[in-house]
Amino acid sequence: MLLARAHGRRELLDEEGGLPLGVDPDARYRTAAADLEPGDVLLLYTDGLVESRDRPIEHGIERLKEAVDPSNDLEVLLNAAVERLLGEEARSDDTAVVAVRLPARLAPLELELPLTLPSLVELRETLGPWLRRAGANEAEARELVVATWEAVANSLEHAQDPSEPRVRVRGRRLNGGITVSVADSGRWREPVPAADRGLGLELMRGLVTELEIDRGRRGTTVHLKRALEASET
Amino acid sequence: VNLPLRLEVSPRSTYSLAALEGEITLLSTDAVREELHRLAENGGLVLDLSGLDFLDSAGVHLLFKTARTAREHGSSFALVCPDGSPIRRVLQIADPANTLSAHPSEAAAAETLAT
Repeated sequence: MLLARAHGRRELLDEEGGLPLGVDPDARYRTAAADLEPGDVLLLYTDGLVESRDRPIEHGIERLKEAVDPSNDLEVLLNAAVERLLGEEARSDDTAVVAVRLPARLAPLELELPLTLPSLVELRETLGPWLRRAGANEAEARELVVATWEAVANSLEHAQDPSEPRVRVRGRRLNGGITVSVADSGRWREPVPAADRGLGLELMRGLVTELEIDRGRRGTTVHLKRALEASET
Repeated sequence: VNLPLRLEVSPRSTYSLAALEGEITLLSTDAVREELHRLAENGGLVLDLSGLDFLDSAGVHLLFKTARTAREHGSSFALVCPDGSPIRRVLQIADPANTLSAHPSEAAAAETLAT
């Protein structure tokens, strides 16, 4: 077991190892304890990853320490580790590796955009990466971006108070899901079936788990909630 | 605003294949609106969306409009949208009954034009 700290240190938790699980019902194993900090990655692996006939286990472990970058996506991290240690080599031993991460604390998203068309592009470029860091997979991030895009596009067309031609987008991570709210100073136009905006509303509804529209006297706020399939929390 | 949308038309024996690449949104629909309208007036049209990576309601609206233009002019119309396409989900939500006649490949789309 290797613990790759977010701030850079690498710690080995079980230098001794033990018999493979299930071989001997009376086998005893040592437990190891460590406190995980946000962003830390714990790597569990079989000896096939770090040991081979022509390489002592110490070398393998050193290489593994170098290969693991805890700031990477877990999939990228695992691929890099396996590639670095096994490479093209034909393996005589089977190998299993598991990576576990305590998600890094994520600052909520706070965006204030002018009500202009280029804001849509800025929204997408900021919201997309934030959603990925928040634990959304590629499809979830893409779909939530489209839903938010539609909400902002609606504000663009219908926000009515010229004294504050801006839209505020806020993103939060909440119990296994993500909430994005879009607030403007305009009145929400009731969707007309089959018109552009009716379609936009339909898209928002279809792309999120929960849609809520607050029409206040001072503006409209759209709340988009989306549950995540494999939440890391 | 730089418009990341391209339209490439290739004549086929019984229809035109128009491939849209990039993104078709509120920011870019105007760039292809007329060309799509013209194509829809002139016989069979297959719109290939395989190269699209972003689609919003304004884009979907233009697709509906193009299909309607085709229908009004007696032209047959179909879309190509492969299974793994990033815009597939949006298309499915906007058009659950598949009135736009979306198919996973050009061959499948072309086949529906013939019948």
